[in-house]
Amino acid sequence: MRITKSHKDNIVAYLCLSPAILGLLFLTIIPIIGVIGISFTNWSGLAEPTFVRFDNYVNIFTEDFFFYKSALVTVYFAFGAVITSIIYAFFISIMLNQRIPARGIIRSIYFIPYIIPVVATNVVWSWLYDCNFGAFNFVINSLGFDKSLFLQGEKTVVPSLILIAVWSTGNLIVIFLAGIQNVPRAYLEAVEIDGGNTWHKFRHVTVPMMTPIIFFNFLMSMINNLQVFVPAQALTKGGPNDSSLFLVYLIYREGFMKNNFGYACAISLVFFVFIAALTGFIFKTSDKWLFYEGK
Amino acid sequence: MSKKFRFAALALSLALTASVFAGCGNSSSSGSSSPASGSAGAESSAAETSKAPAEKVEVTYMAWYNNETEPAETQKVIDKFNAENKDNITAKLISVAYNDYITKLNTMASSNTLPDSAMMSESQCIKWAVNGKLADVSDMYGTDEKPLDSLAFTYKGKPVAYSCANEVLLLYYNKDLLDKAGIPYPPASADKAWTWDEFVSAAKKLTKDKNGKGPGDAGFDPKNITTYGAQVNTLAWMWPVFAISNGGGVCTEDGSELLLGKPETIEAAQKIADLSLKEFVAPTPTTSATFPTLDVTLLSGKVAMATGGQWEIGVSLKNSLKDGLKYGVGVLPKFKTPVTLNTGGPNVIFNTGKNIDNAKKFLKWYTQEDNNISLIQSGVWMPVSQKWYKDETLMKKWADNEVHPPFDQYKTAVIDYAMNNAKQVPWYYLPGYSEIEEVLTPGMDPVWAGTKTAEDAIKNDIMPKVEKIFSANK
Amino acid sequence: MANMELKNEAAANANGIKYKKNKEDRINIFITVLVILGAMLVLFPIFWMIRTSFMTNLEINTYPPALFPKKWLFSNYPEAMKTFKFLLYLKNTLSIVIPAIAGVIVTSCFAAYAFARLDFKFKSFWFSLVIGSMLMPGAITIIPIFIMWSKLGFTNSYVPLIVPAFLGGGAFNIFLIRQFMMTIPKELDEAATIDGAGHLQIIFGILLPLLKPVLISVGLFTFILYWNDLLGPVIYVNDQDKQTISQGLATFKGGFGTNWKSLMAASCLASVPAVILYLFGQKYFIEGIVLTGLKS
Repeated sequence: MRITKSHKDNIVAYLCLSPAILGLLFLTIIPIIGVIGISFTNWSGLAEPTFVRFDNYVNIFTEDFFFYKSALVTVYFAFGAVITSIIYAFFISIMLNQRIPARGIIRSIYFIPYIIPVVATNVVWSWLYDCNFGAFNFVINSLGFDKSLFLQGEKTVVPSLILIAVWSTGNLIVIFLAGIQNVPRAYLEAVEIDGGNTWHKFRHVTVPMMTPIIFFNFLMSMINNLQVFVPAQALTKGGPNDSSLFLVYLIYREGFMKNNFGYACAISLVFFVFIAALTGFIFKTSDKWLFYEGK
Repeated sequence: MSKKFRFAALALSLALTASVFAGCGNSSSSGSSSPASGSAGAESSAAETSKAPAEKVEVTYMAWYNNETEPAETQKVIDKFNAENKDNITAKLISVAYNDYITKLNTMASSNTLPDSAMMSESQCIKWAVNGKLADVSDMYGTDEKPLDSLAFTYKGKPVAYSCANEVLLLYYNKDLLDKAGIPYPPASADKAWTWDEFVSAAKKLTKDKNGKGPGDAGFDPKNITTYGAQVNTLAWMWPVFAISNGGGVCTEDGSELLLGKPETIEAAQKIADLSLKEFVAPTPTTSATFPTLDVTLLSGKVAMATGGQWEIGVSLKNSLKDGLKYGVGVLPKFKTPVTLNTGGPNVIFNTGKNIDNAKKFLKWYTQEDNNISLIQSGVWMPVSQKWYKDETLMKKWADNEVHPPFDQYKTAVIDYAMNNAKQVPWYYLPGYSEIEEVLTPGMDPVWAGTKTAEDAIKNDIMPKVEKIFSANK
Repeated sequence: MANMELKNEAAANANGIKYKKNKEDRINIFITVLVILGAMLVLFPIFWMIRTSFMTNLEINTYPPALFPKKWLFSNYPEAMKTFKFLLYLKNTLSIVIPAIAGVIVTSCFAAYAFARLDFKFKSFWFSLVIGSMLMPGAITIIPIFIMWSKLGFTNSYVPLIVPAFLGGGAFNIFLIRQFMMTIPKELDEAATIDGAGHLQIIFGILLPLLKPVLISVGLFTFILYWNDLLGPVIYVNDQDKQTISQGLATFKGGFGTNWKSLMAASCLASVPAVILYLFGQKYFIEGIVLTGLKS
């Protein structure tokens, strides 16, 4: 009896997974095998490739002075953006869950940046950040401070991009809000009956119940933000002086702009290993603070 | 329970719609020609059906565009070709935004799906020839119909592409601002070209900070300049024009020797950087990165004089005429000799296609002025063959209209200048140019930003790498 | 005596409640002010986009910047629409987005069900593979995937953009739905199994309604993803009349400067369908969340 059930489960599970497995095979595994193969060649897309052994990998760590800087600014951006936007989104969603007037409208306002097409928002922000004629510098200047270079300054470019990333994290707010609303009312009432105040409810019910959601958001934004690409492509072209030369943009530049597909593939595999290691580490440590109701 | 299933049913029906949609996308792509946009497309398909049902050959042509109106204007010319129904060839235009163009091209190359012909990125053209991707086009034109020699991209002595149009670098200015400052307009003929010092002193008088003070005045605030006297484009292919004028440049005209490390080149580069660093008359590239199109830059008084290509007349400047822009065009200032650069997007034929001869027929038709006159008259292009620069009636046909500046000025400042004073950008002939540009562009950034001198950057950072590339490509 | 004490205690209690109520009110007022101020800041860039879309190019570039246009130039919109063929692009984009959403929801639900509810061989292997596939920078597999689609003859069509949605629906969405499923008590489906329900009935009858909020989120995320995608259409779509909204927007950014007013006007237009859809979906979204909140 038991065996047949688990046997049936197997069939059902693989039926359910079949589209995903096909996708994995054709959209991830086979392409990655291709990428691995290409990474051992000097393929330019124009001429026939030749096999170059580990040259591309050796170059990454010995000759390419872009790579280290690129890895550094990518990690800087990713951690900056993830931590800031998680804190921002979490507190905004807590506040948006309180009894405030016109809650629906105000909620929508906070999500809207996420809805607006990225092409459009990038343009607006570049406009606001403009160092001579932009609105931000107008305000800064009227208050008597020195103008900031924002996207044009080596030190200011990443924080400026982080601000855009935080501004458009409507998706995190959506997920947090959904999670907060799933916090069982009974638990909150229990705290109230025990004489707990808002802080107690927050600290002992909301936060622990929210840990799976925080974890999810953290992991997802980390993965997404490590792969940051659009701002570099649309706003900074990796500059100034490579201060926003994020890894995916470096890969894109090497491959699509300079025809060094072999080299670009090698970088992306190194990058892949790095992200995988980081994610594995996050998963390993997650058991300590995760809380599943189903458990 | 029924409510729950309704949701499931909805999901399933969506999935069904999806597969129908997917099928549609597929069938229309494999069909011979999907209905082109607008009435022009209808016209051409009407022409198709009226002719005998001889076998049609489709030639694909891919081009980038600099502004949103360009694809439609190019399509008009292509529609004309299709309506004439030359040799049963139909041309199909693939328009790609400038910023995505190289990506698209490289993706296509890597998967062997290149179009028959394309406008190639200028700096990449010779590289593609080196890699054996370009068809030989030396037999495309008869001797009397050939474009100007200066418009041929050559590799190993053979032409691999001709520019679709001719373009030169010029100096544009806002007349109102110069009038207000009491400055004579920049000369419109090469023999009267301003010296660099004359150019700088004019720029100084035009530069104003937010209190209306100029660089010479006490209390001038270089951090809050509202009008820059001059803007010199520091693109890696543009600024060397001044180095050439000074006796330097990137390389000799036969491509045999590098000139980048010469003191004349370094001096010119430093003088350009000093415009913003020492004289405070020009925006740094950092500042000008977010400038709008040239017409608005001039009209809004952000800049009084600016270097730019001839194409700006049709791409941007004409758009602000109705808003009251009064601009003029002159020749570039000189160091020693009056010089400009000429360029133009190279039309290439890929040797991967099966349609090489038909593509040649199309490109030849496409670059003949009688056929693409609308693009020339719009101010974006200049003609490619000599007679259009020599015969006054032909000149007037393309340059004497409301889009172009007054003909007398345009003739000496642009037409004669292009004929007599233009040198080719090295991407016409130098193998390895694209790699050199990849070093030159970031390498010069510290010079324009003032963190390194031109001498330091060029001698210590740029030259070692460029020399390596240069000798590797010899 | 005892009576008195009782009375005092009641009074004290009432005071306490009143005090607590006041404090909560004050906190709520504070939060309201904070949230409204924040909302104004968040809206500012959007306000800036709208305001800019009604200005002349000259006015956009004057300094100091004006808060409102001197004259509201509604003509910017028809002018932008001369080249930005909004309805055509909208139709094109929707014929990618709608099937994609359907594909994502259906296939990622099935996959999530397997991961959240079923025990099967190599489960953790497949799960880490699915999660692992998220870690690959998408930019680099473009070339092999493009080569594959061109070998199959599907370039210049929407097929390469839509089909991936039906192949698993994206690891992100599978993970999102799985995480939510795991917070739904397993006893619910165990009870249904005892009542004789099969897997399909459990998925569609029991889990799907509870998953409605997350499905709406997934749908919305998918919508945004496809609505914003530029690289995909650039690579796969050649014809002018097959271009998508984001491709249309990109045309305004030229190699030598940008036509700001038209770009802003087109951007506003491009935002409208997304915002409408969101406002429409949001109602169901919040409704769905409240329902599940009550149930657990």
